[in-house]
Amino acid sequence: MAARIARIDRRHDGWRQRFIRERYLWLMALPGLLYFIIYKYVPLMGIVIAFQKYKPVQGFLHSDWVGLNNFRRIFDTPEIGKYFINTAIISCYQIVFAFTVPIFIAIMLHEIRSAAFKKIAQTLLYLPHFLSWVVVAGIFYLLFQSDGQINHLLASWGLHPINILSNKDNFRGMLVLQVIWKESGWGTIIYLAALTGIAPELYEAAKMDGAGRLRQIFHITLPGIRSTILILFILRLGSVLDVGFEQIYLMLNASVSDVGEVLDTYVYRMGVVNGDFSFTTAVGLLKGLVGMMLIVTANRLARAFGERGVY
Amino acid sequence: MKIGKGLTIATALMLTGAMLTACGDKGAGANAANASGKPSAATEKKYKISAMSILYGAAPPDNGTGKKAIEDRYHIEYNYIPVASGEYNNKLGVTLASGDVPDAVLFPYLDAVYFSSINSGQFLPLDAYLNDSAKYPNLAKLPKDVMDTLKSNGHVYGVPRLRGIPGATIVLRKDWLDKLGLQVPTTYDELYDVMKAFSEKDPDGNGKKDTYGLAAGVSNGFPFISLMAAMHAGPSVGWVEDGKGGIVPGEFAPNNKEAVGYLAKLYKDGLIAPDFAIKKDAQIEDDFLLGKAGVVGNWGYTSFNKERLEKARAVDPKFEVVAIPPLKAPDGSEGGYVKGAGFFGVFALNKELEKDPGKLDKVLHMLDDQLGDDGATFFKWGVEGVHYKVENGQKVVTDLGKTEGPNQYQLTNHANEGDWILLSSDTPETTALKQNSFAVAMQGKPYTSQDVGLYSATNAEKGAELTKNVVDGLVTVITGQKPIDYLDQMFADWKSRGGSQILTEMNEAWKARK
Repeated sequence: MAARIARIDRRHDGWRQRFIRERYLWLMALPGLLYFIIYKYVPLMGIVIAFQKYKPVQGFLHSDWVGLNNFRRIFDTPEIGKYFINTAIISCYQIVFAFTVPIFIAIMLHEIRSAAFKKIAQTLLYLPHFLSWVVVAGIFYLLFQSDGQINHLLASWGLHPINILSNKDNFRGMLVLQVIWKESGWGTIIYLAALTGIAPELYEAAKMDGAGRLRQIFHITLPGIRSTILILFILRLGSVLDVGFEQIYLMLNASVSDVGEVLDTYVYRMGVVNGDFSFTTAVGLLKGLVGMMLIVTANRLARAFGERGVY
Repeated sequence: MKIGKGLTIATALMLTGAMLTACGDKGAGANAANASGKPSAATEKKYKISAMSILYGAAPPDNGTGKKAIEDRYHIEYNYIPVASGEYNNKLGVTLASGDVPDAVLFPYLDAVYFSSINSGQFLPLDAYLNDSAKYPNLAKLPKDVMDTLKSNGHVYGVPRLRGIPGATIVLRKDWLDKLGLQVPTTYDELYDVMKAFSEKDPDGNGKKDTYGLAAGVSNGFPFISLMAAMHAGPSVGWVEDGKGGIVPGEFAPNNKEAVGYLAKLYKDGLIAPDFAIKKDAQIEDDFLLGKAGVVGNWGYTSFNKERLEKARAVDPKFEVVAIPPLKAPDGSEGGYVKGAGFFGVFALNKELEKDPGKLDKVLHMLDDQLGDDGATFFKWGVEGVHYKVENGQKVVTDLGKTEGPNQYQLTNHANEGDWILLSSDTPETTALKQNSFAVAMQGKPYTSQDVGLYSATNAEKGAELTKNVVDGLVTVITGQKPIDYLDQMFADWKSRGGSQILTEMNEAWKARK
């Protein structure tokens, strides 16, 4: 009753009274708000340097404005096309493979009856996520370099040595496999949570109707997590041009830079190392714009198909 | 284009060694202050001086006794910022961008970042002070060749860290040579035979084919400066004269196909690790030190130090190295190594210092002092009883001296000549190796990379990316994915993307300097 009255009152109050009444809620939200304002919104002002010829001594208050020159330069730089294509291809691989693998794993885990085995499997699958990319890359180098363990083993079996670290043909595939190995287990968590939300009665009813395991998966499990998959997919599209700077930077070498150099590594090289801040900010901004357009489009599509979308 | 980076890196590595040595004179601080005619410490204002420099190996302790000795010597509060060599360029970029620039900043290379910083007025032109022989006698005595190289827009913006002119030489595993009964090679063909033997005849005697001829890799460029030197072309040698009255990057010099073709042959015949492209500076050095490769192409005299020998001998106690005289050029004429520029990196001074002449004078005095005999001796040895002790009339560095002597916090140093190329940690063996390297590097017809200190605006803007393309392209040629004639296409490509402009600007600057 009291709650109802409060709700009615609220409608008639000005924002001042509402604010006073909800002051504790605001207080609780304050740290989060401050975090976003200080670390996410204030730095957004740095974007202005994409429209300047930014010089550190002059700062962004006194650097010269150059309009869209930096953006024009993007389209005049032949490498960027190549890096964009590399980024897009690696990203596609990641969406097709690295994005879907956790769904399979989550469903498989869900089907496991033995609780103990499930726990152990989950723990083992989560573990690689906690290794930093530096460690993963280090392990890869030690295992696969020309005098690494794998090649020693192959040699002792009389087989030909393999070279996957500096081989253009498999570089992208290797990147995606690394991502799958490292992140798939961790990626299952949200799906597993969604799976617990499916009403057990549905499975019982299906069993009564004679549905086998596969049928249950296709007609109950998958539809049950469809909206979760969709939301994660839309969010993933927003970072479609972020393909994992750390990982690629660590694995990149002169032999594979033709296929492995991506926008992030280029921005790092030109911006941080060579000090071309304005230009690389423009590249980064454009990258963000592409991501935003994809999110908006995907979200519209999702809503058009009757799903809820992310907003 | 890259300017003998291999050499600079090698030099840098050696330096590291140099910095690791420690030494000192008890009470040298006070004496030196008096000797240089400074007012006594008590009446002098205590300035807070910050300096950022490059670090090889372990960082010295933040409050080491050596740093304390330096603070006493100059009566300053010293904020020394050592940055690991692998991270230096990143840190430098971030520091310059942040606007919070230390009083003295080391620029390891005269590259795009350096030129854009001095052109944007972040640093102080130093000409007036460098010529003031009354106040700064040692700065005034800096070698003219070096200072001419450093001149940009008619001004000098940096105090160099002096290095010897002798550059890197080809260095071989002497014990492998002896074991296989081979002679020191004098031509490229003989060197090929040696490398072939190193990779196929099991020089380490472990019964496995697990060695290569040449320690190879790709960091920012290739570590082949001394290997390519007598070719007068190829990667790492910097810009060379093109025989037509101009200069051109070594990668595109007239003899480039022979030079790069030599590397491609080494690769094809298995004398270089098949995945050498993944190896960076540290691994390249490890391959040589830890017995995986028998030849290294970028070691200068500073490379020979106790730490390296100890590291290598922990794996193979028989490890012996030799720096060999230059090979004959492919046409049979006398060859030579690429000479060093005479310095490695410069310290530029923050423009803000101008507002505080007293502080500026202090920073300049510090640099001046470290170049002179007295200051250099203090930095080499440190404080007696702390960083070194005297045994039988000989100074001997202590353990404390090795880890935190003043040289760990040193900015610049004495001109590298005579005994000044030696460190307090040098043993009779490293002394001999250094002196030998110093000598053979200058045999034959040594020459200088022509591009050191030349400025081209286009190169500053596009050079880094173009160089990267060239390095990537060279890797495809060396590994045989592209034929040797691909170099022509690379050159055309390089020119069309801004290289023509760089060529013009560099040649103009070069002729103006001549």
